[in-house]
Amino acid sequence: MTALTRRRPVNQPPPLFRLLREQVSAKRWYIHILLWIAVLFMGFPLFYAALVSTQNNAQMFRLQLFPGDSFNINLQTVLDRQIARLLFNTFAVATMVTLGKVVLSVFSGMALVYFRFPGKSLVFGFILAALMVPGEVTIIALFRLVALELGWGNTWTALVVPAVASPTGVFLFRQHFASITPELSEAAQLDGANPLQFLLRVLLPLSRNTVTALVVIMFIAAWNSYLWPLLIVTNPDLQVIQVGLSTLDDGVEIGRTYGPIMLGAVIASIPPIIIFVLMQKQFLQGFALTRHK
Amino acid sequence: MPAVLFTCLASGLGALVVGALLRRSGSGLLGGMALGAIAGLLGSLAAMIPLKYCVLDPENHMFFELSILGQTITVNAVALIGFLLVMVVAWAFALAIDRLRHHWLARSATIWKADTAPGTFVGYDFSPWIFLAPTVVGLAVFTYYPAAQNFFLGTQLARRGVANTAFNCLDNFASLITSRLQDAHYYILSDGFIWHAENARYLAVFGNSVFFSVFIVLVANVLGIAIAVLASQKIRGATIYRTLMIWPYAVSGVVVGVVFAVLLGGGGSGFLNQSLRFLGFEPIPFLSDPWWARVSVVAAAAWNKLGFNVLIYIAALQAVPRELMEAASIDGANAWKRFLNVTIPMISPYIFFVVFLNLNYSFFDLYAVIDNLTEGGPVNATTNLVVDVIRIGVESRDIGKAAAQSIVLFIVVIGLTYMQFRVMGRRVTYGAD
Repeated sequence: MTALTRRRPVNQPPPLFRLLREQVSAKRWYIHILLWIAVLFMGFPLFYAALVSTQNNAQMFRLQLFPGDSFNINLQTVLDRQIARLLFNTFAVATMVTLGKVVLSVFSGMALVYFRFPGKSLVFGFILAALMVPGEVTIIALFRLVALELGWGNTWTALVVPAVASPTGVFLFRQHFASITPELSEAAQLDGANPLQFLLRVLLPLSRNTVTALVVIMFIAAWNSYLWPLLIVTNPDLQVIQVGLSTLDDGVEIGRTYGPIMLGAVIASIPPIIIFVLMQKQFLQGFALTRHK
Repeated sequence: MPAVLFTCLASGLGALVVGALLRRSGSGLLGGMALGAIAGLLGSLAAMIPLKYCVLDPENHMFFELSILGQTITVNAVALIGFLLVMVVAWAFALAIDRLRHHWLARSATIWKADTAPGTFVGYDFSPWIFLAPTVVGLAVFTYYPAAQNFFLGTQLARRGVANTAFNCLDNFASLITSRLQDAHYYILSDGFIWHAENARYLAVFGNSVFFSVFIVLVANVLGIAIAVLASQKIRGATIYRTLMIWPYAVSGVVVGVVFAVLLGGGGSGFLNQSLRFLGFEPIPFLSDPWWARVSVVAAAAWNKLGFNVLIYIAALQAVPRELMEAASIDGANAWKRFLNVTIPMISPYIFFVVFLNLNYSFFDLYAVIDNLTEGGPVNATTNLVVDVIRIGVESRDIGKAAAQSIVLFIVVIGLTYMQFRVMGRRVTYGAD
């Protein structure tokens, strides 16, 4: 019924198609129901975590499906266990990694598009081939290099510096710059701009979407990284939230107290989820080429 | 003397194999044999000189028992791996020489001559190198150097925290196939139909990786496409539904592991089991039974990836032209037939893209999920390749053996990438680009 009273679209389809579409629209209520089932299915794990974060162990093991009374206690536990410190560390490290990746990728992309030099395609191949090597493959040797040969164990340098060179970023910016008409840089050169001026005044304003895409992908990846900080940082004052999560236990009860850990899990998930949901369009654009490096 | 003999043997074998292969593909027999002989010569030298021909020394040999169809034979693991190594390196040489022969003239002209694209800055010979230096140096030091270091460490007896290492031939690799299972019951592929169960420890870990990959890809893609088809219908609130479904992508593996541990385990009485008990069913040993533990890992990881898949598939479905669907309806295709014969072929490039991303994820990025959900257990039932590398390299402090395993991982990556290029290279759709 609603389909008949709805205002007609501008491109009015021929009668036969209209009939077909109305047939489809009559069934739509069950699409809504299926979608709600999917939404609940997807949302349930984190929803349950949020629920447990307000409960103590007894309430959780009773299968209580409404909020308990322990949220304040859990929050206090989590704060006592330095969650603010962990979150700040994660934010600082993820920001530095993301910033480094964007800056280095912009410069490399620029060098690969706006300059002529011998061996250009070799350099590009060298950068691109690194996409093929996932961090997990080199992690043992990298650990040996960073901890033993460079002596960076238990520093943020170890978390940031090995991560800032990004083949994905270079590829993203190279493709983006190559899609910008060369007349722009010719005009800039005629006006006497040097490469840096061209980059700051012309290229960056045109690259807002690409920068956002890279920031979203890289920030989420850096915020969520676990294995490398777990290996290289043992000092709790420098640790990141993903590794620190399991230390949010209250340490009083025997066995785990789940409330504080779930609260920590929820808090740790909020920043990346917000960024991802708000920036989904740019994220999608940036994901033409991936492997989060 | 055995070294010379060995090199000659490799050349001869290379000549035979490559010669036969090229002959079948229609090229000249003599040329193929020459190419194979050169590749075998170079390959055996390149593989064996760094190893100082230690494979030929009986002192280094390690043996294991292989049972095929009830017949038990004793195999020399070091010799087997040495042989495979020479074959692989020689094969790489053969491919490289063939490439160079075909393209050398054309490529040498383009590699070193700067391209003449319009819009490049003139008179700045030095600045591109300054712009590129941090990235190139960063990758060289923190990606390529450790990758190369793996090959060195793989042949060493190296302990974590100790600077000195000692050469131990191919022992680290051989021990992958000779090390024994503690408890065969906890492994996949250990019932002896391929390998003798007692020798299958690493194969079992490999089996776990394959199991995870296959089922994560299957679940996350079937559900992903189904949900995306629903969510991309023209209905009110489509964007809200989409937003409510894609966010799990941003949840970290640690959070996924910790939350699913509470749902499935939680000190023996997680949410699901309490619900089952409440409904009058027997509880399921989600994290303590080897097979259920594997299923739990697959469920958690697939949940984590589902949001991303849904996002990509919605974008893919929106790119399918409406006219095609309408034309198919006029031809009398029902919804299911339209889906199979129009939608799936049209979105197939996206399917391959997502499948390969999911494959890479489930081979290499599961550590956080597994470590927080099952810790690789019970016993080693959910230990996959990456978890095993960390267990051996960090917890058991055996860097050499972990490096050898990393090289196996590296071979898997190369295989996956090669497959990706092969599949993506073909045209997988009709009409769309």
